[in-house]
Amino acid sequence: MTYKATNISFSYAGKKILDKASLQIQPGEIVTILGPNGCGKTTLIKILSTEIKPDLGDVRIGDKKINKIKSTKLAKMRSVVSQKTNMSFGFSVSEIIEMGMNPYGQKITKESSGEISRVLKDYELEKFKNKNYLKLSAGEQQRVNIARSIVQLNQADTNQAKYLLMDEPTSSLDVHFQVKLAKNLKQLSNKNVGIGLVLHDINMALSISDRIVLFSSKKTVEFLEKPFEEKLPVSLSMLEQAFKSKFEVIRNQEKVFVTPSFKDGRS
Amino acid sequence: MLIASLVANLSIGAVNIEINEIISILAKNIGITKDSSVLTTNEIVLNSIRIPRILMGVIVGGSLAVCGCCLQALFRNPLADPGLIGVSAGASLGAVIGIYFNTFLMKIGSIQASLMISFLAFIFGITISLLIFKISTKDGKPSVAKMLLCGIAANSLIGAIIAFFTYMSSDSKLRSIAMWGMGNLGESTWEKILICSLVCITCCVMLLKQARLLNVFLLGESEAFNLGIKIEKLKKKIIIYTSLCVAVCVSFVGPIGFIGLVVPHGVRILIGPNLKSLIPFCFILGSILLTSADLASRTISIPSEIPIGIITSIIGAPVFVYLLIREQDKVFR
Repeated sequence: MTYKATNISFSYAGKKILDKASLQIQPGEIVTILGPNGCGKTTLIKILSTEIKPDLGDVRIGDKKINKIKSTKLAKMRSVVSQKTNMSFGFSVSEIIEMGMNPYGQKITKESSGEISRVLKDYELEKFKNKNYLKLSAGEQQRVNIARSIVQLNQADTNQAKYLLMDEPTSSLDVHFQVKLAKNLKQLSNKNVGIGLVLHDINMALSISDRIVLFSSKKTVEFLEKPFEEKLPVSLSMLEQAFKSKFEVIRNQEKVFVTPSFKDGRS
Repeated sequence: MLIASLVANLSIGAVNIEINEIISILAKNIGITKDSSVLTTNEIVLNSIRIPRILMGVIVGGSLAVCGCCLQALFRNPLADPGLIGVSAGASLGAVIGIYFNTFLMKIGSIQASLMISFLAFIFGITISLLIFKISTKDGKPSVAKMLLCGIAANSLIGAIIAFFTYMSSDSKLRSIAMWGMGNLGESTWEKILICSLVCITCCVMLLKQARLLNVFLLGESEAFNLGIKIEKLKKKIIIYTSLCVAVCVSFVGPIGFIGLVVPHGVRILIGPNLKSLIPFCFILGSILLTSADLASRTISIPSEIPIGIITSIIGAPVFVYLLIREQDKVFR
């Protein structure tokens, strides 16, 4: 079952944000969305999650239109990590992670409590579990949100298609947790979870993605597919055009890295 | 604490009644003892005045606190209270109109004056809050921010209309309007308690049923939506239950401020923001606060009474500030 957004157009306050943008995520695939600030990446994630309705185009999981899927069923199929949360009252970290269980009903079973303990350990949140979320640093809060979305997804039936949408999940994470998240995403994709994520770190995108999609002129374009080592030099101009910056490709043994060029003073 | 407050309310007043006597009267009421002697004065005071008043205090205090707690969750704003959705202001307007046109209304209806005023207060309270809800809803989606701003505008407009009626009123009506505006449990009757408890307890139970969803809603609308919550349906339910509950409370006892704002705060500071436990504790603390305030209002200047709204604010405000200073780190950023 493919998670598919086709020809999505969306305007806000008279301004066209997306113009016939399309995106596909296959089960077990990690797709990264790259693009400059304000190009519509977050809007696309919100349309994929059905939080906002597109003016034109449709979003489907398999053959079924996503807005025809019941909200609790959909919450078992896809979880979302937003760019920022807007919480006013200070729940404890463990209470927030438990909220990932919401689509599955009220009771915390032995199994789900084990899952909660596991993610607390995975994201090194055990010592914060009784702390007020609002008192945590931005990075710690981001880890709590990621942990909650993983609990939400892991409770679902193993045979069912599952997707994880993440909007800049690494924006406040230090290198240690970026690596941890990258490993965790790989593990999830090995369990057939389809992952769509918005990133600004091109090198992280190169290291974890199966496909990279680039926003250009309010549309998404397939930017890179594996093997990146061969295709990146050819596609570099697209990246330069989208970000209005010069880039250099650095090769280290079999890996490639991209770095903005500071030589001409433009970046 | 609630039991202590109830016992003190039963015992203390213009006529002090011994606890032993209270127990024997209560036992007689529920048929444990069969005493066929003529009703004593104390029995009449207890059965016709104090017990209805206490029960009304428990129901109204608890319900206002529960509604305040749920509205703070809905608006995701610790400063929200039942007054914000226009229901209190609407009910006040209904009551003021009822008092102003009292003589005229008596001619067209045969029910007693206070019930007619309560009925008008209820109708106006519900109508204004539904109107605000309607204005704030676009494409079937109620906007919480718009509702809050419409509530402020409605409160201001209704305040002006009430001020107009007050200005036009005779001295006796002016006093009735002023007294109604300060709240009063003194006119509680068994009929009023029956109506009030049926509506309020049903609404509070329905609100408690939404506690888990409201907890998730507090993460933010996007998060709640992504966790499978039907946001618009939840908002509608909260507005309907709180409007009904507050409209009934205000129409029977007048607008009693502070409880809907202070009690949820106090309880949240003590036990945290989880609505599953917050709602029941708010009911208990709201009941304690209102019955204690009523006891104070009846006993401070015997034989006259100080309006209960004054007492709730005098007790509530310092307690609130004390809790805020002592425990603010637990709740706020």
